[in-house]
Amino acid sequence: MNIWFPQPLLISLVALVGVPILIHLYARARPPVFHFSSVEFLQRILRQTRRIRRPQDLLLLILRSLLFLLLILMFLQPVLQHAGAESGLGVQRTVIVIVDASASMAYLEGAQSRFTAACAEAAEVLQGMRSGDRSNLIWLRSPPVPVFSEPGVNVTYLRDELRKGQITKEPADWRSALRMAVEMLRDQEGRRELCLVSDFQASNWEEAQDEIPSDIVTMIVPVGEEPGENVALTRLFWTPTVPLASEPVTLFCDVENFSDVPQEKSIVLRAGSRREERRVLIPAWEKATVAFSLASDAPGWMPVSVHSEADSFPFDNDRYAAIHVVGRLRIGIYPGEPETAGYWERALQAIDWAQPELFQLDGALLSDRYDLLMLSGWNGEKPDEVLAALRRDIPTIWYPAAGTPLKAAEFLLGQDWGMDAGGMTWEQPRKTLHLEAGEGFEEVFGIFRGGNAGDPTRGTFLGRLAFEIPSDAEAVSVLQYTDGQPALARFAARPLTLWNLPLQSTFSDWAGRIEFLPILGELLLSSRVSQSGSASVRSTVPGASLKRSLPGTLLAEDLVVESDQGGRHSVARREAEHETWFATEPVSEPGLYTWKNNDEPFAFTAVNFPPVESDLRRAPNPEQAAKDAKVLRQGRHAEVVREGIKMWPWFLVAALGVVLIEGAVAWWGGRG
Amino acid sequence: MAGRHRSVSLGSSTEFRDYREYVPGDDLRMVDWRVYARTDRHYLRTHNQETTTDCHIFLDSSASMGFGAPVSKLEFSSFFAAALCYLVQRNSDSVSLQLFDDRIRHFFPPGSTRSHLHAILRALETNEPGNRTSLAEALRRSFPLLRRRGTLVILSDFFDDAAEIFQALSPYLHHGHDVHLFHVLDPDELDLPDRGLMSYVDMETRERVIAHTSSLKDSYREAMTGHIRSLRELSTRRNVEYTLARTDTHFFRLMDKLVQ
Repeated sequence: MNIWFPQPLLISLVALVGVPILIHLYARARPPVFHFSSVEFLQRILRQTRRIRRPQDLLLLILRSLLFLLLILMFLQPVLQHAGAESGLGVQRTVIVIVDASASMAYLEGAQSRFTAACAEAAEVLQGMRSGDRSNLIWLRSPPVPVFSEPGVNVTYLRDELRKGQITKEPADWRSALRMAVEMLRDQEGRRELCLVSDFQASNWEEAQDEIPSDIVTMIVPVGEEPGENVALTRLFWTPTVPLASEPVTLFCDVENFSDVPQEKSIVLRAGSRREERRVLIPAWEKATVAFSLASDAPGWMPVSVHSEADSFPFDNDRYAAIHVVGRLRIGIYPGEPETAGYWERALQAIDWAQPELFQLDGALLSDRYDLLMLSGWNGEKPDEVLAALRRDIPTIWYPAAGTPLKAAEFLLGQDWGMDAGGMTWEQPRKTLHLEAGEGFEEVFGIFRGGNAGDPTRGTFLGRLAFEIPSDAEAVSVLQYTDGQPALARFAARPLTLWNLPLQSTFSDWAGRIEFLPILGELLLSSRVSQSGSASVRSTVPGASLKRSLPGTLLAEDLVVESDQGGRHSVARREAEHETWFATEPVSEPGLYTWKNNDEPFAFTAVNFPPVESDLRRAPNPEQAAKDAKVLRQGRHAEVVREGIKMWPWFLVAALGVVLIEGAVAWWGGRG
Repeated sequence: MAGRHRSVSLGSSTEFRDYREYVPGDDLRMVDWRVYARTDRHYLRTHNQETTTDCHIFLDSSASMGFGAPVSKLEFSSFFAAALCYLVQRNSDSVSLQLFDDRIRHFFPPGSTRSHLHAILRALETNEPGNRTSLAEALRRSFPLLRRRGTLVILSDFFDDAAEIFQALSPYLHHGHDVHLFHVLDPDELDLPDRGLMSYVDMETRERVIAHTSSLKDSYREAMTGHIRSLRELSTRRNVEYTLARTDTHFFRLMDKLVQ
């Protein structure tokens, strides 16, 4: 903390503190002379009282000097200011206020929501702005929305915006909001302030740390108390991820308990006219998963919704999904190694539920075009497209090209194996290679359990890829060579299956065996089992626009997106390099949105409450976002940080205290 | 006026006083032989002797006696001494005067003439406060000068050690002097007036004491009261008349003390 004097010229007045000392010394040295008959008695008395009198005199001198000093300081009106910050007095200020308008701010505490409290605090922060100061308001949403494109002087408008502010059900994108604010402050002159008004949820705030440069004065105004009980539906996923018509589907719903006590809730599934209820007990701060069985006789969309009992935070009690039931699986085959791709294509053409199609990695969104991917001889180039598909739970079977770095597998799985990557090298051992069942064999190849469908381990191989999968990769070997080298391995992290079974006729007779077709069929069907549950990411969150890659022959005017609440959203056409996109404006409400072409439904998009907003706990140290950030209990304290604390009332109180003490000491001395 | 004072010594006047048993050394002429004839025991017949008396006035003329306004202690004492001398001379008794400070500045031996009185009055009129007080010393030095016993009147502010004063008085008392102490004090000496922070300068020693009156006042009053009490107690014990003479009262009142 620094002490700042508004009138530095008057600091010389502090020298006046010497006046009482001089008076004391002078008065003692030259008091009026009085000729008295005899001072013998006086001397005797003084000798007796000197021991007491001298400390009293000294104390009185100190107290009176202190009183003088306090009075002088009071008139100097010093200001206590935050250390390291440029003084807010006499310089232009630019203040950016970020107000959290994310879903968690809808939590009701007493009569008002956190958002209402945040707007009131933000208005207090802007209260002390002077003429010429610049300010701006950024609504913390996803994405964040600034009121002005750059800081302006119209504070009244900002306060009006705060009054009219609307809560959203969007997640808080702290990182973007802070970057936006820092960018706005970058070229501003004078004192730059950033004020964050939020509930500072631990679930999303901590990611935003270290975004703020230390030369920006940061003030943090937390709103909201510790939350009450909240049970949230945080995820819906199903398996198989792309069900075929008449195929049973299991729908899973994650129910999380964000409270200190176990909660028992009714979870209700609604799928068309069907209603099913489950009771579930969720331990404190734990998660439970509820399963529902579904089936659809015909291909098409199966909209479902799951609801939980009402609680103190009702916005996360609903979750929506649209399960796409297909008549045939659209299987995209990447022909990097044409012979293997050809074997795959020909085999799949023989399966009635499969619809193979060759594709190239051209930037198109694979997850909208295919239900399953098979990559033959892919060497890891353009991995983002494959990664996007894996993230959207598109099962992918990958036969790597020789020399493909293992880093590519790490990248696709989102893992760090912590070793020198190396590559997958081609090897041709002298001996013929044979297969054996791996630990995941039974799960995938149940059809072969009876022995009627042949033996999938039969076959000979003259070459293969040599590589080593570390245990960290959490891979399960379905088939492996007799020497232990993986031949067919699945990963737990993402629906990726590594294919190390060369089908080229020069290296293998496996593709010509009778077991090959059932093996491939079983492998593809079983790969749709959701391993990570990431099917839920097929839904989007409020604040995002609904997008879909559709044939370019469609007209945007013919398309419309309707919400289950009855709202209609127009669609705009956006051309990309290799595909045509249609997208709505950002939607604000969770629910099921129906895509219609000339009023004919053809697709669904689920918009769900962002799970990250359900955990209402506050970050333990929100001030860690910036060095020396100040945590304010109330917005009006921003004025104190900005202008400093006026110290003259303290000095006045202290002076009064000294007067009382001085009086007490003088009285005590007089009595003695 | 000779013979008006009843002497404490037994004399041969006609006024009978008492019988006393004979002890060796008594004048055999005083034996009452008639009583002896009746009782066969020797008794002396005593009579009161009427004599003239001497009044010895000791006037403290030290610097401290110059304190006081509008009448200083020395002036007050001088007025009283002058009046006393006049009355004594009018009674045809002898009066002596000593003006002293730390030494005997003037000594007027006992006398009863008018010119003697005039000399005394002139000395009193021209008397000025002198040096330091030393009453005990003055008393010691004066004792050989006073051949006849009489009434000793001491006018002083007694800023001296009380025990030492009474030790110096012992020969006088033993000699049969009738001693009167008049403790002359200004009211400001009895009760310090509020003057704030002052530099008190001793009028005799020139010593300087800087003190705040309010912080001393009560203690000073206690000390002065103690000093007076001490003088009074010693006086009572030694059969000495003690009188506090405030300068804000009329000195005639002091005459009553002498008459009593």
